[in-house]
Amino acid sequence: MNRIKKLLVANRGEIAVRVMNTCRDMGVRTAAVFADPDRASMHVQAADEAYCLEGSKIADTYLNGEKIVSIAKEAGADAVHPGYGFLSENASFARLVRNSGLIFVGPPPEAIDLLGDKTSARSLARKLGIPVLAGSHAFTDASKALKEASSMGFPILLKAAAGGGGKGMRLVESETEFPVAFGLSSSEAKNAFGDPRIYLEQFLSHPHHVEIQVLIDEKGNAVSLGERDCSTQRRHQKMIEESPSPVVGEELRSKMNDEAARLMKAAGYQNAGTVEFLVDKGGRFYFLEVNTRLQVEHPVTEAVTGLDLVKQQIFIASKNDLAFRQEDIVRRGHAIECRVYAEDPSEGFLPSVGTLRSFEPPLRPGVRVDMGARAGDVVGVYYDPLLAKVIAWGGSREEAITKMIGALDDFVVVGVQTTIPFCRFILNHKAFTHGEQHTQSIDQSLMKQYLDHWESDEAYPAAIIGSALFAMRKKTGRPIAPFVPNNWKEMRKDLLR
Amino acid sequence: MTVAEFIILNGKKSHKVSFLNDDRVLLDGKEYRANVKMMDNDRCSLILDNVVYRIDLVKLEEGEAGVELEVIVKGRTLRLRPQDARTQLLQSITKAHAPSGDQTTVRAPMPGLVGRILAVPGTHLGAGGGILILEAMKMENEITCPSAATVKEIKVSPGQSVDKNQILAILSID
Repeated sequence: MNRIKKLLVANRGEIAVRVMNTCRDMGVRTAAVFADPDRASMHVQAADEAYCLEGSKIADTYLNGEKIVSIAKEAGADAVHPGYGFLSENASFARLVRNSGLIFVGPPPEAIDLLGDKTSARSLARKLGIPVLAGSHAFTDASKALKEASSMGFPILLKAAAGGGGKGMRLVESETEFPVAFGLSSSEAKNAFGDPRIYLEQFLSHPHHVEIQVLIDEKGNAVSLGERDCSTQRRHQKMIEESPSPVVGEELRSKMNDEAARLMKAAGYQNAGTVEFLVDKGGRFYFLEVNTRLQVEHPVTEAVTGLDLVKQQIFIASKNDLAFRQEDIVRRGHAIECRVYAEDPSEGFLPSVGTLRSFEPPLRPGVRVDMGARAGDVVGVYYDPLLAKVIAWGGSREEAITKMIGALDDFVVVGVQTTIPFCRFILNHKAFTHGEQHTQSIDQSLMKQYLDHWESDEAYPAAIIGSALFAMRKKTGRPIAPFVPNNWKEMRKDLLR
Repeated sequence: MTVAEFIILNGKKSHKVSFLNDDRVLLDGKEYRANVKMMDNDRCSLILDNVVYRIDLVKLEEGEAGVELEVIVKGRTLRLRPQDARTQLLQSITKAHAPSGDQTTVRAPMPGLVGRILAVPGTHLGAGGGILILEAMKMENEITCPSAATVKEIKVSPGQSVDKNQILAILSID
């Protein structure tokens, strides 16, 4: 039974909209919170009720737990869903929600404390006999960290102790780069999670990033929903995710499923969570970290299992037992997700800002688009630049890739640069179609190929001729009458006049 | 008969597009049969040798160097500078090569907040050396040196908000 009648979503963008959609499916009333610049944003319009957080800085708004909880109480909500990012992995926030008599749709604060701290999660995994990469404890002091790094040996990976999402993560090749890199990572971690601590991790060459989605109820019944392969990353930011993984067979899947469930049970985890691993060329896997929240790429698992993970989260948070067991899980077909960020791939993925003059997502069977923006919206500098996620499902991997390419071709975004052309390039690349992408392939070689590839593209002549047409029309200044045949035979008349 | 002719610049590459009679068009000498239907001011449907393309255009900036367009076709984007062939010819005659100055400005690639300054005036940096941190969308972006240079002047201070294209620093190129 669902005990939640009104749910406050402590987030913004596509994830807030996505959570609200499920609430609507379940007859749960939704409350949005919004910072001043978000008054016109999609998540506010998608909610039944909306409450202003007053302010534009993240610290005053989406990271202000006390303000959010007092709004939740004022709104008469029974529960708070944190989404991902912001306060989703903040144990004090989860505790504050619980102590205020509200339901936190996520794990208990004790489990966030234990697993959210990457170093204590690693020691738990080690204790359970799950393979772990060599790593350090967490540092705030760059010179102490450097001493440890030198003894571990370079290259080395810097990671934020308090959160994921690639924020604060950096590869450091040598001692000389270390101090600047540590400073950048630490301040990024502080801004993103309110915690500047950084730990060091052994760097594995050419691994696949494979993560297991787990659901676990209050009684400790755990079900693993199989893997997502998130190896297509750029500077540790995931770009394309898929399930099943091209490098995981039935035997490895079942082993990883078991280990992930075992770890979550031992941690006293409840609700939906993800156990991340790296898989090396020999098919060995190493525990990386646990994400104690719903992840950006969760729709990939939804597509192959047929489950709505937000619905499961709400059921579990309402103290229901899972309605199925491990053996009931049937995975069908293949799903891929592409993240559409407002970033410019040809300019080193710098954030791209502007007004969305056109925003036309592809509509067709087997393609899902989770969006946080619409045509007319202003994409600003305040927040994470994820505009939408496209999820394509096919009977086979090949079918899913083809479907995704078609969907991206038809996704028209005008006004800001997006990662659509880059995703499209990756999906067509043999490293991806052969399933050989690893977490470092983009940074090491694909980026350069991308910058060179356009001119051999079949659509290149159309782009060149299109721009010449624009120039010709500008020259004639001819107004465009809709529904009148309008090719340049007519423009020519103006030109020759 | 040529109706109109344009030079399209894609970075350093240039292409010649000639519109002929009877809906024919030449791109670098290769002939296509084309049919265009404008949908609105910045969107058209182009059928090129019977292949259908939807083309979206955004005017990025208009200045001395002509108009810069962003062209969006089937999930790809491209930045192009179309120029009238005659104008370009005139320019090439009247305008001598710009003197290759030894100073260059570093501009903000997007609006944001200036974080730390990494290189004070007088610092010598190699290509890719960090000048300052620009924060936007929760990420810290390192603004780097395009080629080996000495920092002459930093035009902004930490905590300052900057607009796109605002000058951040002046470098003296080696």
